[in-house]
Amino acid sequence: MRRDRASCIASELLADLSSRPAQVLLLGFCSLLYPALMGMADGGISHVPGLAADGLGLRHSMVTAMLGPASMVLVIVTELLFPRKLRRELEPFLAAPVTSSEIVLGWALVPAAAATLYVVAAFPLCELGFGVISRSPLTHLGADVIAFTLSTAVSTVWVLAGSLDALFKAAGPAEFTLRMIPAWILLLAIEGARQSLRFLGYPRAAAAALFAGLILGLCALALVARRLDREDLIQRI
Amino acid sequence: MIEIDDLGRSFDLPGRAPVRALDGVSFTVGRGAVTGVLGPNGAGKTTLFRILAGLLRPTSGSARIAGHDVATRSLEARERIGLLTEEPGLPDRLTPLRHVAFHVGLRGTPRDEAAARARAALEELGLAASLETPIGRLSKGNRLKVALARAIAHEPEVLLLDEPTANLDIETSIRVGELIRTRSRRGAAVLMATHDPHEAARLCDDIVVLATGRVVVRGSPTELAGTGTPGRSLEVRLSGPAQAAARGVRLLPWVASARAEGERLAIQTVAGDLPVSALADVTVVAAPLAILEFTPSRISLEQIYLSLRKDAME
Repeated sequence: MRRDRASCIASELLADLSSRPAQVLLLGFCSLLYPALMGMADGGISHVPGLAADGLGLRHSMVTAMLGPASMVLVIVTELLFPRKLRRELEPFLAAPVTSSEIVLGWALVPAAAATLYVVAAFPLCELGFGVISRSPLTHLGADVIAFTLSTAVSTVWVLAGSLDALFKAAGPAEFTLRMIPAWILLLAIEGARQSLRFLGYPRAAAAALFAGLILGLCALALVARRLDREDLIQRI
Repeated sequence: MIEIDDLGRSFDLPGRAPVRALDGVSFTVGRGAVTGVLGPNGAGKTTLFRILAGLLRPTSGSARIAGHDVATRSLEARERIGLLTEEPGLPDRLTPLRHVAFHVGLRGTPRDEAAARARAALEELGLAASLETPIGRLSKGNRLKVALARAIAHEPEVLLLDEPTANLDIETSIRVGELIRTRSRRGAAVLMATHDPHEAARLCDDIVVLATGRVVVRGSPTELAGTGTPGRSLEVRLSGPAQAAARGVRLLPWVASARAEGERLAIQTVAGDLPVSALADVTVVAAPLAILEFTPSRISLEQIYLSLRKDAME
């Protein structure tokens, strides 16, 4: 049976990642610190009349939920992929019979899997932090699980699109950082729009903004795959 | 198998005129043939290999791998090549077995079969003891072998080898030469870049000399040595300083140039065959010094290469 190339690329990236246990552990620890602190912060304000009832709690801090997956994606791209470009390691790989879509999909699978793991591990931590401080369970559990998962997905997709675009086009670390800025601005704009709509009393529109952010992010990722130019990856160094 | 037709590539440099790295390059490499691209640094060898591997687009002309245009049918062309890049491009933390198997897997080969092929290629190159050693811990020569194993493990129809024996010891270099020959006997078309004329003469059926992006001359090592630049070199050792003799020898009609180095006289002839009177002529001109050694030899490929390169630069 013919082997899927994208999964082959993902499995190699995973092998490279697992060969760096110190970085993986540090990354995991830092990523999981956010939701624990977030839960505690939400637990701390849950007794304030009006705020909790307004649903401020966990969903208010969703911007914090985005930091975990965003940093995971960034570490994978900046620690594993970008150095390969700078060390001219990508040339033999790019000369293999793989399409641009397979490359982007293969490289996206690992951060996507990491983000999924993050949701599974981070949400209970968040709830634990909330429970410890407020001594009561979350009031909107179902909605929060959905919001948390969606926020993670939006964050992962946008940071992935931005960092892969930067990886393809940037000649050095400074340019890489600069090229990431549009993705961060768009990500914050999506979250800002969502929160504004929620505070203005349009919760459905706020949810729709998050969905729209995810769809737009997927489109951006597809665009990045389409714009992948092998010449950029081997010449711009 | 490899058809290159009027291939050109320019690079735009900010604030400067475009640099023409390849200019009207045309040649073919048939099935089972080993062709060497000989040229100094900056001759355009790596650009040529990158275009053939689908990594750069040509700005003019075309190149086909097994009938597939490398610019328009890049995927099909890349399916048929094995590439050794100038920089080995190896991940330090992964093992040779894992890395080579990954590259075989990119051709759609199932995991177990990919691992078996990777192991066979690495063992063929003498890396049986280092299969599971992280690549970063291997010597420079062994790293090059891993890169070479990566290029051959999937048994490609076309092998593109950029400096396959650079930095290798003699024993390994001979082994790599045998490997190239084995692959060509199995029908692979091999195109290898080198800046070593001896290596080109030893390994290649055909040599393309490239200078400043243009093909200067093409032919078999024998053709190049015999007809590319006619003439012989002659080494004469005299019984005393050779400066005065060199001045006299330069006046002989069959001599193109003569250079004195201590008691030695290096003579370059005009034609491929020495005149019958050569020894007598030099004896007369060099008198009263005696001739201790008189060694005619065919001009080496290295000399031809240097002379052609000089002409191209001019």
